[in-house]
Amino acid sequence: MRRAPGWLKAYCGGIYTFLYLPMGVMMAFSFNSAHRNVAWAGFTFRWYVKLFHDAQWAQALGTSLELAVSAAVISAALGLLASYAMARHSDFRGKRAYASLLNVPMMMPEVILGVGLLTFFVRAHLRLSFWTLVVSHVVFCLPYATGTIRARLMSLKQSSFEEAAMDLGATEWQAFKRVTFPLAWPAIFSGAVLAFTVSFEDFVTTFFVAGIGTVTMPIKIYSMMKFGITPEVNALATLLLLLTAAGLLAHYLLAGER
Amino acid sequence: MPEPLLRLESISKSFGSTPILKGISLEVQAGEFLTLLGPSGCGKTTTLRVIGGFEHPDDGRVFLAGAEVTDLPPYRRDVHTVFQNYALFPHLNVAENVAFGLVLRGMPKGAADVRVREALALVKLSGFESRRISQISGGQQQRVALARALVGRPSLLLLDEPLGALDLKLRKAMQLELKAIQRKLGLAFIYVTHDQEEALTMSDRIAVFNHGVIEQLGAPKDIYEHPRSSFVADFIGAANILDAKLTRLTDTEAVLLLENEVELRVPRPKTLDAAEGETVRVALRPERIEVLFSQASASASGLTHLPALLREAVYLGSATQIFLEPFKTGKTLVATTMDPVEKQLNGNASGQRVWLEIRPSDIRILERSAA
Ligand SMILES: Nc1ncnc2c1ncn2[C@@H]1O[C@H](COP(=O)(O)OP(=O)(O)OP(=O)(O)O)[C@@H](O)[C@H]1O
Ligand SMILES: [Mg+2]
Repeated sequence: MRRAPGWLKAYCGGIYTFLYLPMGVMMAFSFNSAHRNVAWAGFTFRWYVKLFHDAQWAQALGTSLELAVSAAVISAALGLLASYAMARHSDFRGKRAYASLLNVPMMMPEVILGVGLLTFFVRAHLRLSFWTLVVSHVVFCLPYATGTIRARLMSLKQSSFEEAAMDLGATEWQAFKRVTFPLAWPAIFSGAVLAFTVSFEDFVTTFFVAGIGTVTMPIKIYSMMKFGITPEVNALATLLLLLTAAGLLAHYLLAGER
Repeated sequence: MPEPLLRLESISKSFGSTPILKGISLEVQAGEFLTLLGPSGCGKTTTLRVIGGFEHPDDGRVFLAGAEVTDLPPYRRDVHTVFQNYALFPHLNVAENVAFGLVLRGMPKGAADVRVREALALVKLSGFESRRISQISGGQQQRVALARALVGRPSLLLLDEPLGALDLKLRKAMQLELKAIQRKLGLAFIYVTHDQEEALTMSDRIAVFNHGVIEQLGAPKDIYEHPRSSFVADFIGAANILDAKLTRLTDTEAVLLLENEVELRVPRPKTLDAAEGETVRVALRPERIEVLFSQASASASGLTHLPALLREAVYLGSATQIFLEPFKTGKTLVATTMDPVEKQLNGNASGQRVWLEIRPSDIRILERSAA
């Protein structure tokens, strides 16, 4: 194996320090027994305990989980339908436009998405609520779920499993149920997990379309920051980070399967 | 004439604006082994997919046992396919794969198990029931795919290059086994390959495909002995293809001027669409050319001798390939001989003077020459 020159190692070290040190510091200070993020005063779980006893925080966490799960399930279901259409029919009018338009929300600046959605809801006289939030999250989660699921369905199509099933007497629905779905399941789940992660950590769009009563974790953290960065914020952000990381890890493990 | 098991009636199919099948018509009788043979991209797989119901023809009709099935989906046709990449279900084990079609039909588990065991025994995979697909070799996967297609007892099996992924030795063994299974069950096979040797050894009849049309359809011997075009002559076995002018044509005989040089009298073929004075292509098989190293004393009746320069001799193990120049145009002919010829070649072979012995009746008149 070739050894990297010293300068390259230093460069990479610098980049990674810059990327991960702030997160490390934040996580470390979430265990700091002092009230301010200045000096280390000893190890404690106090802030986590306090967090879980605080009804507001618990509610924010609950809202976020509920929102992310809903967005993930809906995105995966819609993503499966869209991917199935694209994999099943090699060509239909406007297929390219269909495929690209699905991906647009992923690339669009979130501020624009947020303003757009808000304008839409107001114009449509839809009261901002938990469900408008779910709909909005589905908009930007869908491309992530679809991407994962579609890749898998395409590769399944390459192997003609569905055709083999139909050749042996399965109707379209039976072929889907007995062959395509079981084989695509890991990708569907992994797409849902990715959508969950994206939804769970979203701030910008949520900020625009969340009604008065709906407070998610990122929103709660933001509002807490007005009073300075307390150790509780550190603890909460650490939880958010770990959950997101776990989600991403699960996604890659599942996507890597087969 | 009984109703054929399968009848294709001038099937046409285009993808985009490219015509892929241009009026394919053929019939398969019960128990027959028909091979679709042709170069890559000529439409063999597409033809199978039309029969299986995976592609809808733009034009033409498909009949199975006399009933039109052109518009029926794959699951309503009594044919099964062995896919080129096998398409075995990776989430099911060997027995579950084979049982797939039976379960769909609602066959009781006990009866299905018996049938699965029979099918696996037929392909010599007894004891592999609970193996996962990823745990068996390519050759074994091929057998599972075959068992899965056979277990439902279709009257017609479609096989798309089923041995394409196997090594040569396994391939040869499987050719014999497939043929034996086909005979034993009395099934009709439509077998796709681009291996001409495989086609010649296994088939009852061969359909030679080229660019979406069937160039020739017939028994292996018929196709090999009487190719109707230079494409067929060249694709099935090796052939020397020459230009010849039809100088005279009688009811029984055609007089040819080979490469504007050598006059030959050959029997008139049954079908010939060229007239006197036209130039045609003719084929001569390399194994039908005898190479003589000294001028034959008295030429035996009916044989023609041509002087030629020997250009090269290539040792092939069981045979030797000899490249010859009998014409002033410098056109090269290939001859293959099973005789040991090293002695006569005496080292540096090139430039040696030899004689070709050919039997005019071995010359096959093909299509009109384009030039
Ligand atoms: N779904 C499709 N869309 C567009 N073109 C196609 C499609 N299927 C096949 N073709 C084209 O049709 C032509 C014939 O394909 P086909 O698969 O029938 O050839 P083949 O004779 O089976 O060749 P091979 O020996 O390589 O398998 C090819 O040029 C291929 O690119
Ligand atoms: Mg093919």
